[in-house]
Amino acid sequence: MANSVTLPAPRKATTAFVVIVPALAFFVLVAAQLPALHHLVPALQGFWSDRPGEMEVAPHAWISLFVVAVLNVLPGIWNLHAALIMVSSLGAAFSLGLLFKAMQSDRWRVWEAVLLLALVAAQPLVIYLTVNANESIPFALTFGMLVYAANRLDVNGDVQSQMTFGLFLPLLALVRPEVAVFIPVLAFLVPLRDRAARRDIRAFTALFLVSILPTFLVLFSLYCLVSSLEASPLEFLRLFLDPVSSLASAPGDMVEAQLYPMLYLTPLVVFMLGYTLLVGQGRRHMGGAFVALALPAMLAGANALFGWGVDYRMPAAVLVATSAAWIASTELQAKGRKGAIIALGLCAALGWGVPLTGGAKGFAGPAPQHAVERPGVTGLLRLAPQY
Amino acid sequence: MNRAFPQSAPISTGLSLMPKGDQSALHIKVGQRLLGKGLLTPDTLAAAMEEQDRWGSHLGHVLLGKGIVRPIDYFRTLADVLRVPFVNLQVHPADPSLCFYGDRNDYASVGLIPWQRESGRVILATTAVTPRQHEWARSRFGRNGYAFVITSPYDIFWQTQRLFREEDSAQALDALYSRMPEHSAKITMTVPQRNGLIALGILYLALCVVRPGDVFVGTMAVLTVFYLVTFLFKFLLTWVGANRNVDVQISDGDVAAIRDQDLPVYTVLVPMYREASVLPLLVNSLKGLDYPASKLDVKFILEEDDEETIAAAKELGMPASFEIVRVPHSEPKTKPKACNYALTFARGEFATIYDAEDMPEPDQLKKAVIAFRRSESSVACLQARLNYFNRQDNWLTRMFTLEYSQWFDFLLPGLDWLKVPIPLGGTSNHFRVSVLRQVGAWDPYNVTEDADLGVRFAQEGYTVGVINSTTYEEANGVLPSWIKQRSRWVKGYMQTWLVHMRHPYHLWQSIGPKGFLSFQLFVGGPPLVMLINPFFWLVTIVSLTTNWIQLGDLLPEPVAFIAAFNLIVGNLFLVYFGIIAALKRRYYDLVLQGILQPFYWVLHSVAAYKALWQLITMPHYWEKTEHGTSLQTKHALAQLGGAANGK
Repeated sequence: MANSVTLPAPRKATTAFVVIVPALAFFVLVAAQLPALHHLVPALQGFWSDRPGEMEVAPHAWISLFVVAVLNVLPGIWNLHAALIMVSSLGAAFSLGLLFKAMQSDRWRVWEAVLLLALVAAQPLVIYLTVNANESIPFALTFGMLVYAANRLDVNGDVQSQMTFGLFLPLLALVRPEVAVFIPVLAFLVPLRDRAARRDIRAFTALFLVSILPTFLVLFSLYCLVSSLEASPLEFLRLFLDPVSSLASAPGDMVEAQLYPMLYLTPLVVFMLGYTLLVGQGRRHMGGAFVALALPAMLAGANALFGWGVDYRMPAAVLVATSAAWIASTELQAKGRKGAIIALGLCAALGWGVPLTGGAKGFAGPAPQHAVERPGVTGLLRLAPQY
Repeated sequence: MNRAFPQSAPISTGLSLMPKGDQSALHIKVGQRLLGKGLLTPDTLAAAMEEQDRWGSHLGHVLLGKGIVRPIDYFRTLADVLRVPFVNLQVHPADPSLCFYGDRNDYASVGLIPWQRESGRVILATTAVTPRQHEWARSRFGRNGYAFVITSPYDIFWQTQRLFREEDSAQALDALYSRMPEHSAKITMTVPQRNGLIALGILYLALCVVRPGDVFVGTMAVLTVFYLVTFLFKFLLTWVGANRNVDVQISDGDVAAIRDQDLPVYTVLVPMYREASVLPLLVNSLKGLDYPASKLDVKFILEEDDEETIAAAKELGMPASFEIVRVPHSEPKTKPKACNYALTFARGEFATIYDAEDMPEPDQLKKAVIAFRRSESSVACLQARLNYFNRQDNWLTRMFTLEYSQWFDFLLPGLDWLKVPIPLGGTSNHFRVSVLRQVGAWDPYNVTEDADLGVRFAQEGYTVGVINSTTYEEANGVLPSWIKQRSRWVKGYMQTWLVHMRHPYHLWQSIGPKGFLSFQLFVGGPPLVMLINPFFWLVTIVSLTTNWIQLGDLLPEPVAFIAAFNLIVGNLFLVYFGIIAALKRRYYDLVLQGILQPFYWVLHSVAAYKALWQLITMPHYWEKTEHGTSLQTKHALAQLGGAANGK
C-alpha cells in the first residue's frame, strides 16, 4: 500500500536533470563545434561521420517521420536541420536521464552514475549519431528500452514487466518495418521465462498472446490511422514481410563494415559476459544480458543478409544502447559498477584514439557502397515528409 | 437533533471487565460447575483451557465463541457461582421507564441494564459483578440504591435492540444527514445544482439553435478530449496496478508470526435480505476464518420482515459470537442503512462487511489486523480484493470476472499508489470502527454507499489501502439480474458524483487537484462514458456503412485525429487491459475471451440508461442482487446438505 505500510521510505532521489541539462548542453555544443573539430582532425570525420548534419529517414520509419512531420507543422521552425539536431540531442539527453533514474533505483551512487553516463555520452558513436540527427536515436532507444524491459522481466517477472515488454515490442515496427521481424522472436521471451508457462501450454499461449497483442493492436491502429485505409491490408503487410523475403547479393562487405565499429566496444562485451557468467548476481540478469548482446548481432546479421540498408554504424550504436540499458537496470555490485565504468572508459578511449592514431586507414566511407535499395512501397503514408 | 454514531469503548460481554486473576479463577469455577452439570466433558474443558491460553481469551469467551455451551447455560451457572439470581430478559423484560437512550452505550460497554425496581432499589441485570459495574451503578443510583442479577450478553443485546428500536433506526437513517447534510444523498440534487443544470441545458439548446455546427464540433471536441484523458488515466492505473509491489503485501510468514492473544475483537457485518438459501454456505465460510472464535463478533443483519432468513439463521444453531440483528422497517430499505443499524452493536476494534455469498480467504482478518497495525492511524480502511468463484458458468460471468480482476487487481491498487480517493468495493472492506463511526458511517440514501464512503474518508483526511487477500463471490450470470445490479452501481456513482460536486471548490481543497481529477475520471467518468457510448457507436457505424456522415469532414483537425485515435487505439487497448487482467490471476482461459469485451460494454450502456431513469424517478431504490444462482453455489449447498444429513 502506497499510503502508509510496509517498505521503508526510499532514499531521496537526485533529480535526473543533473544529467539531462549538461548532456543537452554537451550535445548541442558538440554539434556546433564539430566542423571546427573536423577541420583540426580530419581523420575523425572520415571515420565516424560520413555525412554530418544530413537528414536521412527511411520511408516507413514512422517515429522519425512523425517527429519530422510535427516539426514541419510547428510555426517558427526556420531551420529543420537545426531543429532535428535539437530534438535528437533532447532525445539522447532524456535517455541518459532515464538511465540515471534507473541507476538510482538500483542503488548506484550519484557520482558513479554520472561518471558512467558521461562515458556513454562520450562514445564517438553516440556523439556522431546524435548530432547527425537521423533515425539512429529512436532506433537505439527502442533497442535499449527493450533490454531494460527484458531485464525487469528477469528480476520482477510480474504482470507489469510482462505488460511493459509487450508494449515496447511494437516500437520495433514503428522505428523501421525491417526490424519488426524480431518481434515474434522476442515475444517468446515472456512465456519462456515464466515457470508456469513452460509447463502449461495454455499458459504459454496466453502469455505469448499478451506479449504480441500490443504489436497487432498498434499495427492495426497504424494501418487505420496513418494509411487512412488507402492501402490494402496485404500491401501494408508487405512492408513488414518484404525486408526478409530476399537475400542481399554481397552480405560479406556489410558484415565487415558493421563489425568494425563494434570492435571498439569489445571491453563492454567482455565485461557483460564476465559479469553474467562469473558473478552470481549477474546470473539473475542473464536473460536481459542475452537480449542486450543478441539484438545488435541479430541486427547486424539481418542487415547484411537481407540488405536492409540500415546504417552500418547502427548495430554498434544499438550495442551501446542495449549495454547501457542493461547496466543501468542491473543491480551491479560495487566491483561490477567499477568494471562497467572502466569498460566504457576503454571503449571511449579506443573509439577516439584509433582514428587519431590512423589505425583505421582505408576503412572510412563504406556506407555509400552499401546504400541498399529500400522496399518500393510508397504512397501509404500521409505523414511522410515531402522532401 | 444532531445524531452521531456513539463513540464508545467497544461493547464487552462483561467477562473481560474483571481483574485478570479473579476472572481466571471465576471462569474455571464456572467450567467445573458446567462439568458437574454434564454440560461439558472433561476433554472439551481441557481443550478450551488450552485455547484460552493461546487466544488470550477467558474460558467463557472460548466456550461461547466455539458454541460449546449455550449462553443461557453459561450465565445461569455464573449466577450460581456468584450466588446471584439469573434473569432471562426475553421472559422478564426490563422496565422501559428505567432505561434511557442517553445511557445506551454504557449498557453495551459496561454490560448491564436497569431491569426492575424493588423495595426502592434498582435491580441491574448484568453479565458480571466487578468494580466497574459497581462504579457505574453507584454513580447513577447511590451506594445503596441498586442490586444485581445476572443475565447473558445476548439478553442485554436483545433488550437494548427492543427498547431503543426507534431511536437506533432513526440514527441509522439520519446520522450522516444530521451531521453533514451536504454529504448525504438524501436529496439527489440541491437547488443550486438543479438550477445550474437547467440553466446550462437552456443555454446549450439555445446555442444549438443559433450555431448548430459550432456546438456539434465543440461538444465532440470536449467529449473526445474527455475520452482521451479517461483512456490515459486507465492506462496509467493499469500499468501501475500491474506492479507486484503496489499493494500491502502481508506474507504467510507475517500471518503465522502474529499471536492469537494479540488479536483484537473483530466485527463481521453480514447484511442479508431474503437469502435463507445461501446462509449455510456463509456460516460455513465464516466458521472457516482463521481467527479466534472468542474474538469474532459476527452480526447477521436481517430485516425484521424477513422471517424466512431469520428462521433459517436460528435453525443453524450458531455459536454465541454469531448474533442476529433485526433491522426495523423503514424506508429506504438499503444495505447501508442496515449496516448503520448494526454498527451500533459492533464490539470490535475493526469491522468488515461480507455479502451473503462471500467466501473470504481464511486469513483475511489476520492480514487486515497486521496491515492496520503497520499503518499510520490515518488509514481508515483496507480493501481486500474481490473475485469470482463461478467464472466458468457462462459468458457473462467470464466477462464479469475479467472486469472485477481489472478493477480490484489493477485499478484500485493504482489509485492507492497515486494516493487519491478509492471508491470502496461492495464488500470485504475492513474499517477502524472508531473512524467509521466518526465520519458518520455509510450514507443510507446512497446505493453505492461504499464508493461514497471512500471519497468521504479522503475528504476527512483519511486514506484507504488495498491488501493482498481475496474474497470470492458469486458472479451474477443472469442477464436481467446483472442489469439490475449494474444499474444500481451506476446510479450510485451518479449519486456520489452529484453529492461531492455540490461544492467543487471544497472537494478540490480537501482531496487536492490530483484527487479531484481522479474523482472526475473514476467516479463521474464511467457513467458519462456509458451514457454517451451508444451515440458514438451509432455515428461510427453509420459513417462506416453509409455515406450519410463523413467523420473526417465533420470534425476539424486535431479533433478528428484524436477521435480516430480514441476509436481505434483507445478501444483496442481497453480490450487489451481487460485481457491483461486475466494474467495476474492466472485465468489463462479468459485471455481470448477478453476480445469479446466490447459486447459487454453494450450491456453497461443499457444499465446506465436504466440507472439514469431511476436516478430521476426513484433515486434511493435498492435493486436487490439475487444470490445462489450459480452451479457452484447449488453444488456446494447440496454437499453441505448431504454432510448435515450424513451426520
